[in-house]
Amino acid sequence: MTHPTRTDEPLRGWRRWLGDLTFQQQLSLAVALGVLCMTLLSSVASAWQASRQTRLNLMQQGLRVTASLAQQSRLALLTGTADNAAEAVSATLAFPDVVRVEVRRADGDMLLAKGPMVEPMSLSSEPSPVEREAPYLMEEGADSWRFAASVWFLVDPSPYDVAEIKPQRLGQVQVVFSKARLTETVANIFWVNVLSSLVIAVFFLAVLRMLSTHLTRPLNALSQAMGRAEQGEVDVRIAATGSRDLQGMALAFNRMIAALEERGDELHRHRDHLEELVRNRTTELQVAKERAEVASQAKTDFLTRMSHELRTPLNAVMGYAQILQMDKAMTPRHQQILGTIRDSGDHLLNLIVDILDLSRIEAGKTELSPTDCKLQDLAATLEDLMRIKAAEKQLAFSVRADEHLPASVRADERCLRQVLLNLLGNALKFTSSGHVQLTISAVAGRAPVGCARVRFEVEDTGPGIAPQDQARIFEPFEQAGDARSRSAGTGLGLAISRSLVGLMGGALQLDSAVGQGSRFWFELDLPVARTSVAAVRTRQAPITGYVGPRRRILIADDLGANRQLLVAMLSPLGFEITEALHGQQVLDQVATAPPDLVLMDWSMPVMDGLEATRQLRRTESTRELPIIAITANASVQHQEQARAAGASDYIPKPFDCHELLDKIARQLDLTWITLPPIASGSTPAH
Amino acid sequence: MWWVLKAGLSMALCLGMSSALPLQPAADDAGAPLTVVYPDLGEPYRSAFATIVQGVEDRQRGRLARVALPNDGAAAASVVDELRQRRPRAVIALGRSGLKVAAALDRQVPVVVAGVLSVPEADAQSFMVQSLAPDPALLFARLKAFVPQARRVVVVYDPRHNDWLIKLAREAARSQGLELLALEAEDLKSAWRRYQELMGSLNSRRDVLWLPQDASTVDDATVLPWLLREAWDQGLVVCSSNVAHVRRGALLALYPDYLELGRYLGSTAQAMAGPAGSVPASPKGLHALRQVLTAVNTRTADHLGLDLRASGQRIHLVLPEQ
Repeated sequence: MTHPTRTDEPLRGWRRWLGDLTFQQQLSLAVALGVLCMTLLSSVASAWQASRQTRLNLMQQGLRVTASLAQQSRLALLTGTADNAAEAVSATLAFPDVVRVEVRRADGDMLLAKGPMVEPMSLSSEPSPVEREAPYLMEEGADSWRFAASVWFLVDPSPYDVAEIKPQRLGQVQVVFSKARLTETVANIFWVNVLSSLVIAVFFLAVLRMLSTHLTRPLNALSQAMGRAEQGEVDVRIAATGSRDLQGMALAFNRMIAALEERGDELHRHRDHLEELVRNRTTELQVAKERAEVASQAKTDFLTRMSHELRTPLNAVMGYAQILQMDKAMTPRHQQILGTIRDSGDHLLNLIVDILDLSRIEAGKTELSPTDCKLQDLAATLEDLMRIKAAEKQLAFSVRADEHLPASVRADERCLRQVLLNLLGNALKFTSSGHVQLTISAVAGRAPVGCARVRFEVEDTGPGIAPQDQARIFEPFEQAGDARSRSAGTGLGLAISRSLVGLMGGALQLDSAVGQGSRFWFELDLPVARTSVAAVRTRQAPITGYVGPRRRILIADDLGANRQLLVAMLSPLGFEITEALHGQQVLDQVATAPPDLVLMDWSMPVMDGLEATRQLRRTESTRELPIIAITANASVQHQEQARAAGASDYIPKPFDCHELLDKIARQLDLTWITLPPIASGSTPAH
Repeated sequence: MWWVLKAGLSMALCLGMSSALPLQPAADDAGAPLTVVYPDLGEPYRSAFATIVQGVEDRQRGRLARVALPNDGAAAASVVDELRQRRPRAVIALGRSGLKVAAALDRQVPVVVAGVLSVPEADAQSFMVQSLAPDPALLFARLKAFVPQARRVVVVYDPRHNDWLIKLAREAARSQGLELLALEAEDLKSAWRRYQELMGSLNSRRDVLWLPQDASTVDDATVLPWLLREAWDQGLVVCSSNVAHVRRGALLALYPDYLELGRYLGSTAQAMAGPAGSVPASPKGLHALRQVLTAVNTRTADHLGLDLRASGQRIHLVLPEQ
């Protein structure tokens, strides 16, 4: 690419300037310039030609006059008497343009001269050929010519003369001619030419302007019509006027506009059809979407309902099992049976929870609820939970919590515990010999500011996982290993764990080889909590009653089994129990005999627990009444709804007996009367 | 080349069968033609030479060959070659170019030169040259007849041209009882000075001014008008050898009778071509013209008070023409 040079700039300026002119102006300018040039050129040329012709004529006249004078001066030169030439000289001076006449003798001496002296001429001069017979231009100056002619005595040759008679030179005459007439004539011719050419040019320009106007008018009309068509005006047509070419152009424009309009109409029809098509398709898609949403909602509702339906009987089974386990009259055999019942219930509960969790995660409805969490306590809890299982399989089990771990971090402890329990459960399940180890360690220097990077590792000496299975095992309902081991789980654990770890900002990794065990690990950047929670871990001691006056608890549940479970659980502890089958009964009973606390089931006929809670909160006397919502809808969404309606606390079905009692004690500010507590081995007792 | 062809063609036409003639001496060769060589010029010279040739024809007793010479040197040389081969009985050479051809011919061929005013001395000794200058004796005789009171004839001449004529004039004047005052002039200026000196001193009652045919002393444009005007004013008689001077105001002039001149030349050439001794030896040298006619200007004669008819002289041309 070449950069524009400085010399290009004036050229571009001219082009810009020309570009701003109309066609008519450009044409007029071009013609005006051309005519001006032609005028000057023709004037100069004709003046030059006229000058040449006039000069030639004047010179010929001068030569003739000089020759004539030479003829007439012969006697004067022959006699040497100036008077003999005076008349001829005067006659010569009478010629126009003759300013001086000189008659000279053969030796060059002046015989006669008339007229003012003329300066020596410098433009050109010819040598004076003494023997030249014809007159000639002797000198030429800016203002005059000097012609000269020798005066000869000549004898016409005769055939009778044998001896040649030589001509005799008598002298010379010189005549000076002024160039004034030549200059004046040339100037006159030049100006006459210029003026006449200019008059013609003006006339020509006027005619040209008229013609160009005649030419450009249809063009302007065409241009305006094009502009109107560009602005969107329809049915634009122009009349076919002007020259044949322009008429053809106008007709072509009209045809083009007609064709464009036809195409535009066709395009409109296509567009309308397309819009209709899009509208129909959108409607179909909308319908499909609504159907899908309905189906999704139906699925969610189904899962929720199934969860509720499953949790309700399970709650009764596990509740009664717990009640019986607390009965001191049970024999060890019965205790074992009850334990099996409870374990089976736990397993069933876990299955339900896993399915619901996976469903929730896939639907994107899972949300983290970070709280202050002590990792050391978490490690101890997990160790407590897993130690028995490890002992049952005679596996070495250890939990290592890095001493550099922060005292407390912000994390969703429930999620974290669920992941680690799952991983440890799998390790214990698939390992037949050797050991299982949980390591929680701090990773130095790689966490964002205010966070600590914590690595969680679960290592076992199990059969290991073949490379081809390592990706598959994270898919739902997939298991590695042999058929015997595979049948022992739902196959959802690793899928849920991976999703939860991803939700917490980490990535679940696997290092494993067949026959060399497995190591599942992940790292999380956890914010360091500023407050430390004084953790007191106590073994749940059997509760036998509470301190203080007797309290009344209203149990609202439409299912008698659930009401009886709660009655069986709370009555022995000294509470006065009343029952309601639905929300309206709750309102009625509260109005007649206000309880100290309401255990409110969520789903009830006539009036559900949510509405009943709202109405109780609207009443001044019951605005502060403790209400614990009990529901089989265990999702966070339901928990939030319960709190929004005014429930004081929330406990999902099937509930742990101790958890329920903890919540009741907290609401009623009770102090339980228990058997002496058993302190944990790894934590100091109070 | 064109001139060569033209000359050849012209000779062939004129000679007819000449190419078949044997080249023998003239005595034995009565059939060889007499040849006239003359310049092929425009008027007025064409008519003059044609008249002379006509005169020659009148006197010739055999065939006559005419050779017109173009004004071209190369053509003249080829004519000379032709003539050398044909060996004519005699040659009559007219004009300057005829003289050149004659000079180039074999000296054994008899030659008569005419149609010239004067010739150089060498040519005069080689040929018989008949000049166109009228014989002064005839002129002075006519002058004496027309102007009996004339006593002196004054002439200004260029000795390079007319010295031979002045010699004859002296002789003629003496025989006519006249005095000849001959003044030499080398050019027109000196002639002019002579005339200026003369015009103030001539006596019109006894002096006569003679203007010979000499262009170097009499200029038609300046000197002649002045002289004639002065002579008219002074009543001076002017005679001339040029009839044009009579037309412009001179009283009298003798001019060539071309037909008679041709006849004379024919007779002379015939005689020269005849057998040796049958006629006198050819008179070589320059001869003044005796075949002349007389022209007079009657107005000038009236102005001078002369009665020309009373002289009894024959007048061939009277000017101005009536």
